[in-house]
Amino acid sequence: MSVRETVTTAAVAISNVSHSFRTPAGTTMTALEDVSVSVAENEFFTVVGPTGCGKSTLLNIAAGLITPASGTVTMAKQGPSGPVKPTIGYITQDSNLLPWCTVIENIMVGLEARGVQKAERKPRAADWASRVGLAKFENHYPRQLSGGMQKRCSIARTMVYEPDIVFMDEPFSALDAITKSVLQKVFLELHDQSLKTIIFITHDLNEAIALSDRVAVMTGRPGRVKTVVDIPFARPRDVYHITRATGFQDLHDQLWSHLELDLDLR
Amino acid sequence: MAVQSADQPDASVAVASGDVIRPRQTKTARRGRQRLLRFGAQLLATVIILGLWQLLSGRVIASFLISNPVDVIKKLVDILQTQTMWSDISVTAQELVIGYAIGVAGGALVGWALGASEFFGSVCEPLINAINGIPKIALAPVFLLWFGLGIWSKVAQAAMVVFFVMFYNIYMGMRNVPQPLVNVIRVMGGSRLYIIRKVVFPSLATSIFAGLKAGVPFAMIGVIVGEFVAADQGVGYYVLEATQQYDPAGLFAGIAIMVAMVLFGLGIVNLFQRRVLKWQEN
Repeated sequence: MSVRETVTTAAVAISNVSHSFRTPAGTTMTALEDVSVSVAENEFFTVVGPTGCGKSTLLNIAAGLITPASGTVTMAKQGPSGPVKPTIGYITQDSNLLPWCTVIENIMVGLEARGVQKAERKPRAADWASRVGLAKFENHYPRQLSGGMQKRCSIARTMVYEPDIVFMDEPFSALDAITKSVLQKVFLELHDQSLKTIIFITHDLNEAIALSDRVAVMTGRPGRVKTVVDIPFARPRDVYHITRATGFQDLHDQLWSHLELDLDLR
Repeated sequence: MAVQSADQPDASVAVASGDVIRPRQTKTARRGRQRLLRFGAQLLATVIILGLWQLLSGRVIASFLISNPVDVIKKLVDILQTQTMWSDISVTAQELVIGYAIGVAGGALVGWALGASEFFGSVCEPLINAINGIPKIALAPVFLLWFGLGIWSKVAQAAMVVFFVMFYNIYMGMRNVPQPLVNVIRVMGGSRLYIIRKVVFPSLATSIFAGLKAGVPFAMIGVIVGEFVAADQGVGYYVLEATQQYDPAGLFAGIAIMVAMVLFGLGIVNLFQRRVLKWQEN
């Protein structure tokens, strides 16, 4: 794989990526087959698909954590004088906070890792703690927080260093329905305040429609991109009531019709 | 009847709000009382054991075999006032500390190296298992030959035993370093060194302390074995002398000193642990 900085309008360009795994039985399982996706700068791009279709693998490849068997991933950002290497953020289903660090220390990790000046770290982290509603919990350890609060902390830890591209792997799927809606709202507000390129994985169609600019539907194993659907709703959006918006049900039906053919167990 | 009906609303409030209604101050008070109770029970158990020992000695079991607590305490007070016992203690302490330090450092280093590299780990693990299979006490004469009569043969013996305790703890601990946390920081752009400091090291802390704690009594075993084989100083040497002179009180007094030294060492490790693993506290 080559992660190059080339002149392109796409923030992330995934071209002809294929990948396979060796199963415990010794056979090879193809997880992704010839996947090509192009995500524009500041676009909220979501990938939906049945379990095991290789969504997470695709995300890990895009984020550079896995080297694909074939194909390329190109990331670029338009700087003042030509394209520059973008910084990336990664938010997973597990909050993956450092259990030995307090909330504020966890948020500062993102700054420390990038070598931000010491004097700058604390105020920036404190600002983000309050932006996600954790100002009163700065000195709590992760295990003293609820699941939703841990998720807020992990969002703050990523957003604090202002990544150009944020990869999100089912970030809200382990939360209860109410907490999930609240965090979707919080996250969309943050996104509206400062636009980022976001690649989002979910298996929740409502979530996909509520948050995204475009939704890609993947097939079951081996994963391929079946279709990409535009979500035309204007921003800022009202996450709590978006299911009642005109056209929502049509979009849901359209995505579902692409998905359901692949849902039979094989 | 009038009294009962006045009580009624109170009872229903208590049921509805569960234990919230309990007064606040009791939590620390209860904890304090529990601690006192525990200490009392421990003291009682100790007194019972010592009392039984005192009763059995000379009546059921010959006193030259097991001595008795009163004699042992007398002897302890006695020998702790002599210059020779303190120099014995200092020699044993030196052997213990140096041997422990070498064993801990060596075990941690090799455990880390083999844990970090899957290839070297799989190559070297059977080898280390084989060496660990040697009954290490059998090496005491070898160490005597290599390192002489002084403290270094005992240091080597202690280090050898502690090495394996520490090695296995760190080696296994390295496999439990949470990969998702490593990934998260890698994506953020954290350097290798930063990942080691922020993720690998803290997640090893539990293994490190398990090794440090288990290592203390093992180091003492190594040192005493070394002193038993050949020495002219040390607490182990004193115990051996006492045995050969049919002085059971001296023998048990010496053992009591060894136990005290081990507990002292564990106390230091515990103190250190409480500071480092603060995040695990309630």
